[in-house]
Amino acid sequence: MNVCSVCGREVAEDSEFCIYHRHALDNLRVTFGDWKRALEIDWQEYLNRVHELDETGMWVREIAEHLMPQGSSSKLQ
Amino acid sequence: MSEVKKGRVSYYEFKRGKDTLVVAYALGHLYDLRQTEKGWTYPRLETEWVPKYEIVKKATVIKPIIRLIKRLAKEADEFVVATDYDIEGSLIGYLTVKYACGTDPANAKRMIFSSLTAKDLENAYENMSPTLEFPIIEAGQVRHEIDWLYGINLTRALTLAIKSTAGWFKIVSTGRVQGPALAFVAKREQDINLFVPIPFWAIKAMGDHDGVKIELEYSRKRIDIKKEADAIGSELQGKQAQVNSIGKKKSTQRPPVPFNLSGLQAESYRHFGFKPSRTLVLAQKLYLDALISYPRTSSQKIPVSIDVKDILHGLSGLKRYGSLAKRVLDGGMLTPVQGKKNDPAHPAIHPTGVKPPRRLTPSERKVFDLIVRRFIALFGEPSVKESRRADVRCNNHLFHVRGLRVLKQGWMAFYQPYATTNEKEFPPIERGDSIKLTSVHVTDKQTSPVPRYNPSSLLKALERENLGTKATRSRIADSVRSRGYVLNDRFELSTLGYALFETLERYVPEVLSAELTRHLEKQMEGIQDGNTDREQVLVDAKTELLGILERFRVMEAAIGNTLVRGLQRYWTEKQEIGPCPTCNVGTLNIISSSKTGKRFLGCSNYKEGRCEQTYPLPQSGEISPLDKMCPHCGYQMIKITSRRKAWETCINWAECPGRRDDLEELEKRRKSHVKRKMGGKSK
Ligand SMILES: [Zn+2]
Ligand SMILES: [Zn+2]
Ligand SMILES: [Zn+2]
Repeated sequence: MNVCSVCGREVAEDSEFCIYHRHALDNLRVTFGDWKRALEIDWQEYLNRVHELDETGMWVREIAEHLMPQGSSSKLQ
Repeated sequence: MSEVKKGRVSYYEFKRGKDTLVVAYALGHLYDLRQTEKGWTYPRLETEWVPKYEIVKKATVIKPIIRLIKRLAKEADEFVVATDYDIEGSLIGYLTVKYACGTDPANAKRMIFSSLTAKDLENAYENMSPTLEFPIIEAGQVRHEIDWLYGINLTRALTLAIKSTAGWFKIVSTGRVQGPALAFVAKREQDINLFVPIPFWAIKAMGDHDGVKIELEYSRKRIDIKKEADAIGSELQGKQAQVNSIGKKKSTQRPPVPFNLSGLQAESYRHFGFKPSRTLVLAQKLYLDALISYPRTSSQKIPVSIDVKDILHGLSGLKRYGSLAKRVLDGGMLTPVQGKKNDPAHPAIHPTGVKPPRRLTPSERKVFDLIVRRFIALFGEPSVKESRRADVRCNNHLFHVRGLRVLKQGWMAFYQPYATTNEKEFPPIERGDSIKLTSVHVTDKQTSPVPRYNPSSLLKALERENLGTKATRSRIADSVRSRGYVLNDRFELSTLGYALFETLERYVPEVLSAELTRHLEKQMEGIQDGNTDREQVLVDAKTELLGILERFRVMEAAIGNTLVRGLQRYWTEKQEIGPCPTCNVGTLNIISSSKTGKRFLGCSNYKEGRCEQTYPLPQSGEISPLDKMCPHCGYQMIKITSRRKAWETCINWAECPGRRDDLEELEKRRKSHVKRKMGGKSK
């Protein structure tokens, strides 16, 4: 069984993450547009900022953390 | 009238005309459902009504009550049911007549009332109904039966799935209404977990006009681009702005509608922080003292049959409300405001005008006060408020300056301190005046997720979806919490709640859906309207449930695995290891002695003095439960992770025949630890 590298749940179809973290990643990518326009920041800076806000959801924070050190912005854009 | 005591219970006896009336009471349900076949397993579909004490061991007072009713019934030649007039009350009356009085319910009569004042009771006695309300009774009976079927069978299925996976006996429950309630909380939690905030900026300005400080509100509440917000800020700082126009608007507000139960519960939560279940308990006490009408009502109407003048007269004799009630009576406007919702059985909650026969507790007094003032407010005139808004311009930017004042209190004067207006003084400015913008601030903001449920909003969500009844909703909201599915009163889902939700959603999603309940409510209405009958509804429900249970059985191993993993995560978070093998009721918790700092495993059932089981623990390393049993002794296995190594043992390691090596190893380490410690001290 393939498991989500963030939480260890079973992965969702066509994804390396479980349904929750995949969904969180989708939301994160959609919202990046708003942040880019608002602040003219890049993906890494965006992840840092979202990660720090109290309002950010737990799964979003977890996936952001997972994406942060690798510098994987190019892959995800 | 005299009370006749019989041991722990009593009855009342008195004469009316040439009749001798004997009044005996029940305490909620005297009878409960029990399966007719044996075995703690599933499916179990056939039930019978038996005295409640045979099922709930704590219900010891039920036995003498039933015995007393049985004895009194022998000498009675007529039976009148005078329980609360609602589904549960009617069912309690029916079952008592049938099983305790041992007579045919077809011959019993019925008193119908909405408050316990002497006047209402006499009226109900004089005008009693010649028969019981059988369609309502049938509907109530079928709801009990279906709740039993779903609750018992699904809870056993879940619990047994865990048992066959891990060997633990940990009751994991769900039910007809509890499932959808859990789903509400879980879905809200998902939305919160998936939320990504979006930044925006707001502009706040302070101005000065002839030495008067003025708060200005920028016309755009939300600016999405930081550069733009900063530019506005620096452009306007220190500038002069002009008052372009001033507008005035009057608004009137009618009194709030009469309370039904959920309205009272919401208001009581808002003003006092009382949980809905607590408000219901308090209202029930006030009802039993004949101070208010029957609280389990959906109605927001005070029908003309209620003598409001008489009630207001009664209230005018009470110290706290006398002057308010007199004002209404003197005004002569005795038509209360009505709400939209109706309830065929009872009117909206209102005071009876009766003086409290005893000193109310502070909490009771709060709820009573709310109910009385709300009632008086129904007769008030509309309140009138005036809002003013100035449009203030600077370059191309628009600001507003606002003021609000109450021109006429109207009903709000009667509903104090519960009706409040945030009055705001409008500054002394006129058209053409200029205001100097002394400070213009740009503040960082971001969007927030929907809030979690609280006890009051969960109750409203259940009501909106027509889940549960007026009487049961608040208890359901409590049960989601007491089962450990949520962590606190903010309804934050626990790991266990999540595990249960994920399992049900994946394998038996219909248990989480409100559809099942909606269907049942329709069928119950059908029974009351005579379009279907109890037998048919039961057959349908059993067929449906059997289908679910069969699918469940097929996937039992997978379901068990998901739940066990969830339970382990939950216990790890809560410092719990698993069920206590000695008493099978408590769970084993890691407990640290405050005196010695030493830790051990203790049973959670210890407090009541029922289980004194403890197990010693290794004193260092992190402990987590494992999903297996010891091959030597059959006890639960645990994992100990320290900085240097991770190892596994059973909780019974001190006595386990297979763990002599572990013990010696530990003994050795402890000795060297003690030595090190002593060496440290002597220095
Ligand atoms: Zn995941
Ligand atoms: Zn125990
Ligand atoms: Zn063992």
